[in-house]
Amino acid sequence: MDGLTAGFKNELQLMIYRKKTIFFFAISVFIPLLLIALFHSLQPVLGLFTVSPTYPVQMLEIYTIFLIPLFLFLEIADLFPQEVSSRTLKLALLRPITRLGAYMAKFLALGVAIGALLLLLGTVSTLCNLIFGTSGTGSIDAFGLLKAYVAAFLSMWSLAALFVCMAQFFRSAGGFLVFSILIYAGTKAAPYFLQGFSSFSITSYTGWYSLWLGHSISVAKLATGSVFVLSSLVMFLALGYIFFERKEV
Amino acid sequence: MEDIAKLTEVSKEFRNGRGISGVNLSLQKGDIYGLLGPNGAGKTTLLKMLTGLISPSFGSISLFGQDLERSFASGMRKVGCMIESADFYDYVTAIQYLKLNASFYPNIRAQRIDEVLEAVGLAAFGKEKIRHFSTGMKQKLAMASSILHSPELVIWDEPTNGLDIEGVVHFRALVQQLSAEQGITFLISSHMIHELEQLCNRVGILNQGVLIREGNVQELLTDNHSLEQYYIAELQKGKELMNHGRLDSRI
Repeated sequence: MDGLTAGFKNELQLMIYRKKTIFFFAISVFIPLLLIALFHSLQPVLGLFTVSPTYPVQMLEIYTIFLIPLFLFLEIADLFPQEVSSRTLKLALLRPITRLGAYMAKFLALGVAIGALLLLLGTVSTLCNLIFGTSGTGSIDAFGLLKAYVAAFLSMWSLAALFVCMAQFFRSAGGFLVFSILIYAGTKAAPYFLQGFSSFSITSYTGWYSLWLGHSISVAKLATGSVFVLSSLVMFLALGYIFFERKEV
Repeated sequence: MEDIAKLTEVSKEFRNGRGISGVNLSLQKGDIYGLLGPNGAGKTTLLKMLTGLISPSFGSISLFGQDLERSFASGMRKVGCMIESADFYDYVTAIQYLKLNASFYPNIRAQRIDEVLEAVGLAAFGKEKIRHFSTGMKQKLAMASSILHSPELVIWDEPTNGLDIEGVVHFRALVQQLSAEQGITFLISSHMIHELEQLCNRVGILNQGVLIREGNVQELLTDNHSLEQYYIAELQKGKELMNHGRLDSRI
């Protein structure tokens, strides 16, 4: 695809130049360390409470529910509505790159950012666990942990595809941010009121990685989940492109 | 002569009823073509269609002999443009921005970035964040960016907006230099008619979405005192024709 490599590198570079990206990466190092320090300082008070070997998975829970979605909303707001409102989208579209290339470059850069964030989180929390943790019950083997992080990556990327698709309807980053936070909170709350909602909502798959940790989950269930996550990714990505392609800048 | 860009019966209709109607225009290699017209005439719309930012409702557009829609990326590789206004990612420096652009083209080295910054008079500001740039400086940076890859066709929309007198003189010299030394073809939209008179070999007048006249500047000046006189007369004729319903006003 013409210009895809250059477009992809540019989008990554622009992400790095944005302070909020650096901020999110910095807190991915800071939060696991802060929590460890907190646990250690409170250990005399809490007694038996220690850093368990499942610490990287506990961190994953916090990240997949709150921090990565927030990171995604902010990055998607910058990649699409903000570029429309500040009229910088044309900077990418006036280069030798097709619309599909420009769109994919942004989406791939988003994928790399999610992957890098998870990699950093996994590395830091595993190191914290190795240095400060205790051996005990509930230990997770390295392969299981890897599977969980890969599954988390896929579900987060699918979530990104959904919000990239929605972002095509916005011309202001602020409006998109408010809308996406409300929609995300709403879809998280909906399963409490609507039975069966979670089966059809990609936002309910933020904790999907946990299925990959156990040995008791059937292969069929994992396969069904994988197909749902991947098909959501492809469907929202394609739908988003249809609107992006029609955009008149 | 080789057609660098060609628009055939190009029309675009917006919801507000304005747009472009049945424009035929061709640029030959080495042309410095001035697109004149009052505010809202459709100059920017025409340039946006020529660069793929918006699609025409009807008609066809080709760049370097190839259909724009089918060969967009290969066509745009030889085009440098600044459309509507000089907008940038304001959190990067001028050099960082030019490096980002350079990645789309082969063999652009750091030296070339220094050269284009020097050419537009921004050499001293390369390491400054764009958010600190004035409108004129942004305009110059947009010019630098559009000539970075030594394109064959340069499309500039209102390039002198925000430029001071020195900047305008510099701009004129730059166009003349690039045209003479590299044979670059220019399509410049402006309402700075005196600038276009000094620079262009051909002009087209766009009014209410219709290209009402086109011509060679030297020929026009033999029959008219100045390009301004010709322009005003043509706009007046256009209005009269519109009033008499003789000009197709589909828009």
